[in-house]
Amino acid sequence: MNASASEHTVDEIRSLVDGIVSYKLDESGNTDIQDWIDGPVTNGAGTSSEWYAITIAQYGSYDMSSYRDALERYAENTNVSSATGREKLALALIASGSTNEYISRTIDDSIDQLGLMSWIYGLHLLNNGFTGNLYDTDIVVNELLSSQFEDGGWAIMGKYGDIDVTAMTITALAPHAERQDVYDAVERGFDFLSSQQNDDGGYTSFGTDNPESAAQVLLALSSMGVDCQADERFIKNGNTVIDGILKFRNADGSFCHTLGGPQNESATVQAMYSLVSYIRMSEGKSPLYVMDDHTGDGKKTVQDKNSDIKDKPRNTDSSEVTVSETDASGDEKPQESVHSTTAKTEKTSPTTVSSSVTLVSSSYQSTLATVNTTSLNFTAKTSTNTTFRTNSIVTSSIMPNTGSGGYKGIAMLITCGAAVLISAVLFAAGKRHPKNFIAVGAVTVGVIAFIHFTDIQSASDYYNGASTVKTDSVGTVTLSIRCDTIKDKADSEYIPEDGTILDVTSFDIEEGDTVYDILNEAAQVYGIQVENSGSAGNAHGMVYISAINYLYEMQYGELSGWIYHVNGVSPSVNCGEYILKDGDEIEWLYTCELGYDLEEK
Amino acid sequence: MRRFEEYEPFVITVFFLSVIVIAMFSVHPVVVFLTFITGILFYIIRNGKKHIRSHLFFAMLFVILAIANPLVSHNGVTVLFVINNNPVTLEAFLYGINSAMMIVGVLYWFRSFTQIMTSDKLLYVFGIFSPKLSLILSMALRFIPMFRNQAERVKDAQKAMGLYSDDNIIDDIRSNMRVFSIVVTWALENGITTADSMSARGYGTGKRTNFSDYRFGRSDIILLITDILLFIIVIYVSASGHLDFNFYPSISYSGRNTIGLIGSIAYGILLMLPVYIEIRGNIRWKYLMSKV
Repeated sequence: MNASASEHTVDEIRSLVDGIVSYKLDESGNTDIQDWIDGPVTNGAGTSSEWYAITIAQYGSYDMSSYRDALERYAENTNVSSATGREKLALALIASGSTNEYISRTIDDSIDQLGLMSWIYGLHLLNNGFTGNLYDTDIVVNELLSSQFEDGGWAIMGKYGDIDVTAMTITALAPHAERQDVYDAVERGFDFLSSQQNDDGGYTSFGTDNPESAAQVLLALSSMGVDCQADERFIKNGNTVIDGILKFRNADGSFCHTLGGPQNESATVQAMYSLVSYIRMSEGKSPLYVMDDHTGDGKKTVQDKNSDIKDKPRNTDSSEVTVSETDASGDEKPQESVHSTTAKTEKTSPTTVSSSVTLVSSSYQSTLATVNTTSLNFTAKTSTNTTFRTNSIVTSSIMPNTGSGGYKGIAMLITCGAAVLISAVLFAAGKRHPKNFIAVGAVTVGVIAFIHFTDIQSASDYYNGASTVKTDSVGTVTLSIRCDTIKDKADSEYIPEDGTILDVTSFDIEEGDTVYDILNEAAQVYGIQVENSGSAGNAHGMVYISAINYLYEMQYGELSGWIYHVNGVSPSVNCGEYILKDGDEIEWLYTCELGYDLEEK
Repeated sequence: MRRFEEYEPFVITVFFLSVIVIAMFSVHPVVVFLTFITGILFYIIRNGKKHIRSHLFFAMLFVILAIANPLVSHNGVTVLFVINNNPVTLEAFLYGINSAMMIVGVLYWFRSFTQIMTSDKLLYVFGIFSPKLSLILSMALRFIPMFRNQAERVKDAQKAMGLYSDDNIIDDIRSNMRVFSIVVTWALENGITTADSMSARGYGTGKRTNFSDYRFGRSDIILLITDILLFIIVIYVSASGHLDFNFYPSISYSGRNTIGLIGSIAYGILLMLPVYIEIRGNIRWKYLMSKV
């Protein structure tokens, strides 16, 4: 290792971490870290705060007991359907000092259930000394070694390494580096990561320079005990991985996903734990995911911890209390706070907005945490449907308010009830031929199938005030909605004084996202009414937007309605067919003369 | 004292027109509700317990119309749930119920209208404007019951042939379709026969004249004047904005005001006129019968 001078001292990095912590404290209105842990972090147990809990537990000595109790209750009472979701819970349990049997159970029922990521996170559980019946460390390590690609990297699919997945795998393998084959594999992985590093020290994943990938690399290096500020392989033009992360730092201490973008929750938490892992490395402590024994000095080996844990009494009698997720959103609502400043939502009904805040933020946070922070940030980058499915399963399973299921269930029940009623009437009327009942049954099945394939969401789920989880973002676009042409014409309460319904707001896009998708996302996030006609719900069909914010077509003259511009020009295709690219500027404009009253560039 | 259907046909037509015009152009729930309730009431008073099937049909129509609107129209601020990115709102649902009431109510009034205005009365009313038109109308209107009778006869013949099973709805529908196709063929043929027959008898060679024997009495004048007066009051009140009601985007209305109340009462009286005449006629009829 090279002994060149460090650019960032440990104290500097510690102050950066403190900056993130104080940002979170400001956000929740707490002044003391312990209050923050007992308040928002505990309230978000199981749904939103796992990564913060793990990080803070590994950063200093805090009493995690309230969080631990809340998380144990959550784990006992909630069936998390995604394997990596369960592994995340188990890891957070370990971090908070729990020895709940949930952890061992998770090892057995989660490893190999969701591809490479479930192996990686399973190994983290095993690294902490917990054991299962089906898997031990050797099995898992060998599996990870065998899935390394020729270029030295790992990925969920394909045959070329992915930065995040490679870094994650190395992080998991790090405690086993005394095995020569593991060490060699990790070194090849480092060579791969070194070759992928940008000149400014950061990393680019799928076309976007982002802090998360760099954070994962920093975590991998620190877990292996490699000082990224000393190892020549990871210094490009004098820039280190830490520089690659810090350029995304906002003035308030938080981090953004893209340069100049808004604060991003997953970017912030990943930056935080990667910096903590660097501090731990420089202090000679265990890797981030090998948990300290908070009563001891934190320098015990894995084996020592193992025996410690086995001696502790099993804590399994806390399953009586049900966790109410509805209350769990607590004060930790970073998404809302950002949006309320930028969005023009004062016109929407207060019920919609407030309910969205209480109900959905917690579930959304958890989705964000599971998907963005742990696994699918890396898995979904391959942008295939299979991995993306997992994403949606995660969302629906964690949703505490099973809104869509509820509505669908009711609709189906009504259908069945109507079918039974009609059959009864037929029977009473003497029309007792079996064909009658077969026909009624067939129609009922048809209707139920239709309901099943329809996307029904409750208002609070839909207008949840949280942007869609974009795991394989390929860029950012901006969207604004304006009705300048009619702002002086009529005094409707739905026409804002300055004609701006939504100010210029940036949105992440995924491959294939259309103007319609982004408009829908804006409608969901900011609670803006949008009515579409045509093949509604099918993003790639003929979509016609007949109203935004209750301003309808033909409301202000025969030739009035909504028109969209991209980069100042009105495209010749409908908004469901216009595929966006990075940097596009979308404007939705109300016209009174078929667009001739709007300026095009 | 006459029953409502015994009034002069022109007066009856003016009454129905005024009711239907108001009902179709006002969305105020009070107006719509009055139309709906009195429409059913008048129909039941005239027909009693008969025509259960039409009541069932109207009930089904009501439900379908009420449900269809929120699925098609997504305006409204109170979002209940979201289907395929389109919000389903409370306002649209209420609007659906309101318009279903209006449509079904007007249909009930139309039912009564067609029952009361038999083809000879229609001939009389339209004969004032054009005798030629009234001949065509009478032929066209005659065609509907004729079609129905023919369908019954074909059905009876098919039943006699053993083609009908009465416990199976699907077979029922298929048989009805067969009967329908038979009757349509018959109707086309019948039309040609009628045309040949009429030209053979010299129709269309001279100018047509018209004769009807309807008296325009004192009670007709009273009903006509009352009707027109009430109609003008209601139209004035709703045109002056005292009976405004908006469902979209959020429910708003012109508030409780005296003029609006007067308008509603006037409309209620207008609607109750035939109901009152009919009930009075019924009582008198029963009274006279008891004397016999």
